[in-house]
Amino acid sequence: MQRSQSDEESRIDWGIIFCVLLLALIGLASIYVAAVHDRQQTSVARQVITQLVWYAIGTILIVVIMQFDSEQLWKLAPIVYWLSIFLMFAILVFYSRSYYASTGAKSWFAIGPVTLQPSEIMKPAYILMMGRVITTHNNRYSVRTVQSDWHLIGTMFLWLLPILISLHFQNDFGTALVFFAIFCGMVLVSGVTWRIIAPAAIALAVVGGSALAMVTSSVGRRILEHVGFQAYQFDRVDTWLHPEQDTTNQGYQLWQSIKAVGSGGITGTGFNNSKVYVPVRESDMIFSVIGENFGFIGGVLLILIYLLLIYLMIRVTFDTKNEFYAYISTGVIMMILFHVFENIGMNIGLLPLTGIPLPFISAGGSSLIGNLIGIGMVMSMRYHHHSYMFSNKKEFR
Amino acid sequence: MKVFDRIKNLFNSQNRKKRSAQSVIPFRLNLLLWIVGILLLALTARLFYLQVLNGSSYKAEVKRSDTSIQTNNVQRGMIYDSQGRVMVGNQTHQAITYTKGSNVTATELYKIANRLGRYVTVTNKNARLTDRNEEDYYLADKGRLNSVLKHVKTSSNDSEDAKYNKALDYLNSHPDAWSLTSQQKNNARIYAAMSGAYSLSTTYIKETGVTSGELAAVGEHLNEMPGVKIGTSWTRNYPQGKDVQSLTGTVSTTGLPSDQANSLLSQGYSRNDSVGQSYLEKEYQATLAGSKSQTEVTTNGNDVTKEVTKYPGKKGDNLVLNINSKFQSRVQEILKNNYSAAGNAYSTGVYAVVMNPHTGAVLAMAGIDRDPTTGKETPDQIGAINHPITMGSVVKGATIMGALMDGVITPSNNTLVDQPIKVAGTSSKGSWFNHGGSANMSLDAPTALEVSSNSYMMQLAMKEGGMKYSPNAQITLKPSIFAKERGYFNMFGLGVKTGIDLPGETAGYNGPSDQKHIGSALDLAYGNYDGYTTIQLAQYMSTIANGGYRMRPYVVQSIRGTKKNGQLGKVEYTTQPQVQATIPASKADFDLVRHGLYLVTHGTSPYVTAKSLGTVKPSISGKTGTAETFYKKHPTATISFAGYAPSNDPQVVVALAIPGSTNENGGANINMAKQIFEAYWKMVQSPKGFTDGE
Repeated sequence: MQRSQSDEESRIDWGIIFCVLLLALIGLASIYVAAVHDRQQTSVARQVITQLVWYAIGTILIVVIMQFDSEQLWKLAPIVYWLSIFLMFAILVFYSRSYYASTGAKSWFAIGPVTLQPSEIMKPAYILMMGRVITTHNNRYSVRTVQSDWHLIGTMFLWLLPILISLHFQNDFGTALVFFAIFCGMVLVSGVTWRIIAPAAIALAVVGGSALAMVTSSVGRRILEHVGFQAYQFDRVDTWLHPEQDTTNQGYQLWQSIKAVGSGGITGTGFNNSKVYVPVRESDMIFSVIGENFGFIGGVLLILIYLLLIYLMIRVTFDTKNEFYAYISTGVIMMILFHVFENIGMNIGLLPLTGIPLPFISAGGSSLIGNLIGIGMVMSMRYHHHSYMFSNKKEFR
Repeated sequence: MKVFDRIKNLFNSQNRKKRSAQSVIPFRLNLLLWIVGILLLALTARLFYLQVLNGSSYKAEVKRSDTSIQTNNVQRGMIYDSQGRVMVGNQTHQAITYTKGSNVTATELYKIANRLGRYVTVTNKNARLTDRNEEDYYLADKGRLNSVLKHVKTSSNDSEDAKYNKALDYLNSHPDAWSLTSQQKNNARIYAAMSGAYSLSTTYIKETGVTSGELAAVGEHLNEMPGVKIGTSWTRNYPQGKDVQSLTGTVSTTGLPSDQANSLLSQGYSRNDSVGQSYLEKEYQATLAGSKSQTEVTTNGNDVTKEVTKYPGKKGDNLVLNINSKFQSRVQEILKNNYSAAGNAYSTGVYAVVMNPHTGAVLAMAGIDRDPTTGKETPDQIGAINHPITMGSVVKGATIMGALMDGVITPSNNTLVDQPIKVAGTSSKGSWFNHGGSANMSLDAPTALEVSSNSYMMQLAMKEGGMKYSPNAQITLKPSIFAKERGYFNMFGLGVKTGIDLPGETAGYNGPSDQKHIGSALDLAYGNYDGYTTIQLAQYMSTIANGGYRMRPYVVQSIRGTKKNGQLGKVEYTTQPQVQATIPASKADFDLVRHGLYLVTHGTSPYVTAKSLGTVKPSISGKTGTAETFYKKHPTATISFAGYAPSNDPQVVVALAIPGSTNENGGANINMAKQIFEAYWKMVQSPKGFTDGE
């Protein structure tokens, strides 16, 4: 089978590569700024190079994943899923004690200087598996009923359950939210009837809204305390609503971040010109660096890059017209979207603080690898879609 | 791969007739894109709010919080005597200091403390190490913390603080499970000092006793220990002898005294500041402390990027006392030398005050505190203002002044018969020379003072109370008599705070004043009921001496700055003599009493009480006192004296008291007074130019 140079090029989604590359550059620059301003045990160069190495590993993974066509991905899905589940439970025994001590979460393996967070690998694995589960389901029930839709949702949730259990014991609530977002996005696109989605969405909004109303009002709090909540559990909410009043741990972090972003103004303070100290700004709080250095313009530009990336991924889905792919890309989109929304949102006081990194930008290998695997899966779609187009064997009917 | 082809082709639009999943995918994906757009728009809106609408206020906030004022200690003001001699000075030491950055973590502190511990030895003398300090240090190491946490039950809901507290509890309850080496204890002291410091304020790690070896080692490695510096510290020294400490007070060495910490913090002191803990150092803390230097520090994260000295700081101002330190030492010595002659086995102390009757300036204040159970004597100058003593007959001058003002006697009509006083239901009370009534005699006011007649004073009190005395008569006095007598005493300063510029003064004590104790109103008249301080005695005698002006006693003559060369500088403030009250009595009244006080030392009666002072030049007028007291059932007496000289032109007042004497007739009080007057004329003021006599 002969392929021309131009064929090869059009099979690669340069738009997505461009976006990820841009985000990588912004990430490296921000990590550099954070490293320069915060005295750390490791040197500035080492922090930046470490991140660069992870990008290289991620790129290799993308290239490898791109070699798998949908058929192979289909077959791989359960293997990858169960392997990841295995890691998710192995971590509960073999978690890094020192990371646990400093973060309170049992989410990291530490092998020498290299750390690995299995839940980051679990995300693309779950997405892949759900792609297969939904496609199989929809293929079996060619005529949808409310009952079959409930069956689908139940099945998807069963696959999610071991992950949630592991995350509960890892003490990692933030990541559980990511999985829930992926789950919701995939349920939406799976074609589940509105008769389920609409009431569920309304119920979720009502429960969420009233929970918010409860924890933000003193009357509501008294009711909650009556049913067994403890007063300290509201601390996080207070921190979020009034960061300036809590100068201790989280409130300090959030208030510093808000000050940093706010003081960036429209144009920012300029590259590497950070005046406000924000704890852990090299990872979870990295947006504070971007907001401070590059201002509103820089922040909006970053959001637009993410929007473009997501748009490009949706376009791939439209172009490939493959159901299995559609679900995978939906999962990846939800994963990236939730990370972006929660991370930037918490940096600017819109959402409560959780330990969720900014995709492609925050320092940290596992999260980067997880997101790049997602990108790899999406890129493999276009790569192999064209092969169907041009090989007579797998053409559209 | 049949299934696969079908799966792929399911997405084909031609299959849309079937209402299957793939037909809804494009719509749902578009919906998803809209959701993405809305969420990202929410972020943008929030960014717009923060950065565009409120950007300038956050910029201002950042500007405000990122430049901080770092303060540094200045030298404390010194205390000089009236002759310009340093009584309390400062000794300069090289010290190791630490200035905490604004965002230093415990781990960094731990590292710096361990590094510094290699070069500097901090002993328990420098800083006491508490159990908690040791535990904090032990747990500052993450590895040790984690291994301790393995032994305690923690749940995932526990906050880091809660876990830490559990670890602390574990260490507390398992003292055998862990220990620190002596090197680690050294580091723990450093760590405790560092972690106790406030951001951007300088604290001492080792204030005194830093060896040159330590200085060199620390100096070489300064750049490895951000925040550590070599600075200067000061401790108090006492060139004229440490005895004055019981007047000047002490300065806290390890931060604010815990009992005053809250009020001092509210006044803007830092937790690690040294402050005056007692007496003059405390009273004049604000003056002596000076103002700290202020450096505006611009920080960026942990790094100090710019330091601008906003205010160089000002050494504390100096106090110049009225006290002549040589004379002060001499008075202290006189008390010490004559103390045992007073029969001091049960005595609790001896106190003396020398005062200028015209200004209230305290020229010397001496005192010894004695523990009658151990016999241990310690300097206690301040006892002159905070030990109330039943002074005895020494107050009789005020009794007569009171009677004159009350009108029960007049300068021309004041003769009464000294006789034992016997009222119904009590035993007889009489003058020391006339307990039985065999020495009844007529006395006028001056002679009553001369022989120290108790009977005369009791009769005055009864007259003031409107009671006509006849032997064995019912006592008809009302409790209001106490208030009346005390009112006259108070005019002279007896029984009220004098307002001296030292903290902790007491007003004395009053005996019960109800009808049940009405007989005591008679004892009150000759000084055997209420308690007064020695400074009150001096103020009372000054008021008599100067003709009716109650002068506020004061120790600090002026407050002065410091010259560049370290000498006393510009006078910032001079204490003005302050008249607290003018006695509403005539010159004739005062002359009558002063004549009596003259007779006490110069009289010819066989019962004259202080004859041996009559030969001293310039001549002394005064009054002795003896009050009967008990120490654990042993009869003792307070012996006291208050007087002035020269008699006709008073320049100096001496007041002294020895509570608990067992040799009341030994004349220790008179000998002390005599020696103090002599020392005064020798050391403070020349006796030349004064005519002698009354």
